[in-house]
Amino acid sequence: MYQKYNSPRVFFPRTISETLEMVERESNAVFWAGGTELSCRSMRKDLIDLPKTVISLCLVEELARASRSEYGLDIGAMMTFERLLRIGKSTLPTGLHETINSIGNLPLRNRATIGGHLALQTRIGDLHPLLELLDAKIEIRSPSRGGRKRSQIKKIPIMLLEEKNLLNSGELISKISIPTDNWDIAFHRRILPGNDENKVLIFTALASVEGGVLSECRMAFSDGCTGILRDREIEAHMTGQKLPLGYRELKILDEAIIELTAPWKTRSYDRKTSMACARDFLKRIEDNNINGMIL
Amino acid sequence: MHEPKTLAERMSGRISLVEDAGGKKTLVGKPLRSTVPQGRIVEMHLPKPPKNLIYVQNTEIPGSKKITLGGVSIPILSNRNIQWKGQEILLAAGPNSEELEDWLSSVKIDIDSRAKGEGQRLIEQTFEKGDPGASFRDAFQVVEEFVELLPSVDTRQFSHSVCVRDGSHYVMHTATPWPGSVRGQVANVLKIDREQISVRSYPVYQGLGLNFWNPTLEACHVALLSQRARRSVRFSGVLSEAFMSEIPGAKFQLRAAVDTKGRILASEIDFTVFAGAFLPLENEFLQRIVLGLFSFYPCANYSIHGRIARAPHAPSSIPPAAGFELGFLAGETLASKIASSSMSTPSVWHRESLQTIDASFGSGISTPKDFPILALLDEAIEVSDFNRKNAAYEQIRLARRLQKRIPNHYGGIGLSTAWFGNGFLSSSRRLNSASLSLTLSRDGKLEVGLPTHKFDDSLKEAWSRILMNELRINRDLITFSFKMSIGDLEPGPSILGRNISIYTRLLNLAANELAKLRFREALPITVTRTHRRGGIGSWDAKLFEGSPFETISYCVGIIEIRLSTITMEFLPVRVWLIIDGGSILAPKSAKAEVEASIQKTLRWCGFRQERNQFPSVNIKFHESISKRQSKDVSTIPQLIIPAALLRAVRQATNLDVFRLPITPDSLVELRKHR
Amino acid sequence: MKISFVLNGEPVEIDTMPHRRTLDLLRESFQIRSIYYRCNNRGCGLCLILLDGNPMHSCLIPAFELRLRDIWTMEGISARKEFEDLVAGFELANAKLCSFCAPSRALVAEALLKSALNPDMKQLRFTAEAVKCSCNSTLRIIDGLEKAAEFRRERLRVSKV
Repeated sequence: MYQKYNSPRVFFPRTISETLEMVERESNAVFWAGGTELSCRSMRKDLIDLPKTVISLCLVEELARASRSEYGLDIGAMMTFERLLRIGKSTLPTGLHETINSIGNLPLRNRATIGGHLALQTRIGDLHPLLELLDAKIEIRSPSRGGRKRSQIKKIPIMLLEEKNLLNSGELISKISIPTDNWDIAFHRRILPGNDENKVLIFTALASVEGGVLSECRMAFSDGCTGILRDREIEAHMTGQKLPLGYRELKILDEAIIELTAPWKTRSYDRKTSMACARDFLKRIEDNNINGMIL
Repeated sequence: MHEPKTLAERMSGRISLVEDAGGKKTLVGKPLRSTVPQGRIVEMHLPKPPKNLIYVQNTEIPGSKKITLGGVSIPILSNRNIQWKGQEILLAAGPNSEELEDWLSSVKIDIDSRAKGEGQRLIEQTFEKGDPGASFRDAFQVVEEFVELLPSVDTRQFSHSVCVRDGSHYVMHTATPWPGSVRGQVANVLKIDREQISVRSYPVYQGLGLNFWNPTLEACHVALLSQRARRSVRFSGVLSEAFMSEIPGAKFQLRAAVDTKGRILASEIDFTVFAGAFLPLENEFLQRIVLGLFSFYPCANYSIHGRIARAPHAPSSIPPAAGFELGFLAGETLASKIASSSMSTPSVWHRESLQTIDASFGSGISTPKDFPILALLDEAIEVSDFNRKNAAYEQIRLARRLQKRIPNHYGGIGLSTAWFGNGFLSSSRRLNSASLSLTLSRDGKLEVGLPTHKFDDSLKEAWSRILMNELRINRDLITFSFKMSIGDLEPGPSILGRNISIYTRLLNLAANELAKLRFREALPITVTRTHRRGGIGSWDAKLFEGSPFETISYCVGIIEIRLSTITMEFLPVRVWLIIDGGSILAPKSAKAEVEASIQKTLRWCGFRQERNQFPSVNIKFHESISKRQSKDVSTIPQLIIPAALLRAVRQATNLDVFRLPITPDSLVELRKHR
Repeated sequence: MKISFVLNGEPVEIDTMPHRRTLDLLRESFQIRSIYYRCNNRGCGLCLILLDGNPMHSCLIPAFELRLRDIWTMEGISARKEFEDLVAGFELANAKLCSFCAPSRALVAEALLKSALNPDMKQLRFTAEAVKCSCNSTLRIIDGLEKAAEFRRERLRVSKV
């Protein structure tokens, strides 16, 4: 029988330590979580293009659990989006339920895992901005190397994830920890500006209001590919402002967004809509119009 | 022969599609496609093929090297000139797909991509009548309009064809809206007798457009490989996006001379259709665009210049109304502009314009005795509360600069009218032929033989009811089967409402005849009815006057939208369609079809339905027509919605939106350049 | 690679390449005809199967993932009595599903009714949007799902009594 392609080798570890041992032995191995990204990119008809060595994480139960900790909610990297949704809106951190619901469709959410979503190589996941605003941290495990006996565990803020090339480093996202800060309002908007379904504009915002004063406000903008834009200075400036915001404050906000979105200078729609979304978010808080928001 | 499957059978997956045809020993076939859009093949080096692998080149085709479909000839394989990106250069088949792919990838082709080949033929036609120049000189005002429709692609295009070889007989398994074209074309290409070929037709995927050239071309490809290999061969797979067939786009530049009452005195229209390397039914397509441009409004003087520009990508698919979509979009958009320029409300302008229609409408199409358009218009305006809503949205639009605070949404409402001709304009026998047979067997069973799969359960039920009434026969005794051809001529494609209008009529005729014969002749009795295109004599194809179609469906549609001022996304809120579809055989099913068509059209116009509320839809079938004919209703939304939507979006944005699909970024861009 | 799994309630085993698409594996080795490959991995939803009760695209699942899993396709589901609820629901709603999407629509509907007998609008919508086919409007599909749920509730009520 003619066979052009060699079968990849697939490993099925049952624990995280077994996984890390395997990745230490097989330095070129790639982790397989939901596999949606790799499968979607596969160009062959009857076979899925896989790397030579694959470590399937589907039997690692530690990775598929969610638990409450003093820090907040710990979500195992192998939790699929649909399983996360089943935890319930009230238990999940503010905004997570709505944002997950806006990702893909039901069959895709049944396969896609939160860890795989964050490890995407070709684009920035829709959930990424919200997790960044929520101050989520990612637990990364690395195999023991250079004579160390134990594997390394480190927790990094989600924004540092962009700098990492997880697929090649042999590092494993094991957990996503989200603090239990109670936000009053979360807002997520996903817009397709044109005909190309791969080009998106994502606006995510969180806010808390106390006695008519904006006690905290965070905003992030993403085009799904070049990065997440966030201006902490303007967030700090808005904190403590009385609602409704005055003309001057809104102008400062507009200017800050113009500066923030400078990398998108050729995309006038994205820049204008970013401003409009931010203003709309604030207006909705003022109007106490909670349509599309979570209070 | 087989009965089209029931819903239960379809839902359980107990239905075979083309890919399920053929046995285990069927060879896998694959074409080698050009990766460049144009050029000249200088040299082709074919490595020695492995055992059991065969290939076919252009020079080895025994018969015709082209297929002729709807007036255009498409090459089976590229000779030396490459005419589009993805054109098949070579065909190969073998028992193992990996080995086949390997061999195909080792074929070396030297292509001179500077050579332009045969060049792309530009089709141009001018339609003139009266003296438009004089009318423009005397006009009270001249209204200008520009409309653009971008080409669209249905990303679900696949290649599935199987040729099962049984001795010297070829069984072609294919899924096409025109199974009738397969037998003759394959016979010509293989240079064999048509009797050696039979066709097994499968359900066709209902995408955005109709593609009947690719299944026929593919059938020829598998048949060629099968002839060479003396084995059954299958093509199976999803087409790469770079090679997919597009639905043509178009640009319209329109001018109308208008008198003081807003009546159209003359029009000058220039348009270009952007098609692929070939556009099947190109003449029909051009003429349908022109008919759509007139819509209902009579125009005594016109000069219309239309052309089809062909680009080196895959031959085009045609939209379901074969050009009417484009024509009505442009014609009705111009009408809306004239209505607003004449300072009257659109409903009043439409009413006055339609009221003047006497013996003919549009380009000169004979008006039926029970011409329903005014009644449809009045009903649509009333049920949608159009006048009040339009006045409110207009007031908001005009007072926009005075508003201190921008609301989250602006509203808009659009009105449009359309008619749809069932069947072809062309008098080609090949396109128009249709036949149906009824066979009453000795055991009392009645078999309906049809050359199409494109009828659903409810239509089948409605036809069964006709037969039960006419022949007093039990429903259980009626079966439907696929019969390729009756007589010499293969049936034309099942598109443009032919199924409902023509086959219902044939069924009625055959049932009447059978009712007469069943007590006179011995069983089994077979009654056959074939369709002959009527009314050709009364249609002047040069002046566009007379009766171009046997039946015409009419519709008035209104759409109300909301436009977000934050994201510039539009949201259709309500749709009203008042349709004259003659005698509706299965009203509930027809309504479902219209709804599906609305959704498809809205997507085509740029509406992203996911996570948005689907508009509330109000469909009413007008049933005051004295002549009870069955007409197509499912294509109507594609003619109505785009123009109405464009008008509504213009009102909501206060911008001269001219391009479909409407995207938020294009609206922002337009606002920037205002 | 030897892979054992449960297909439509029957334990099966096959020796295959681990990166073979589940879609092809099921079609070619187990004669499952209710799933079709009709898109370039764009999630058309015509190849849906139930993997451990959840609808998933079989074209995106490599064979090695099937190990010890429970797989259902419409061949298995349609053999059960409850299948009649789905047919009756869609028929009553006049949603005449086309040959391509009908099995997948039925499959997601079954998955929905297994998890929620009184599905809310969000669940209905997500279920309707799991399959991308333009033969029916979303409203019509949602109506079909609601009516199927009614039939299912009635069946369970009767069987309880």
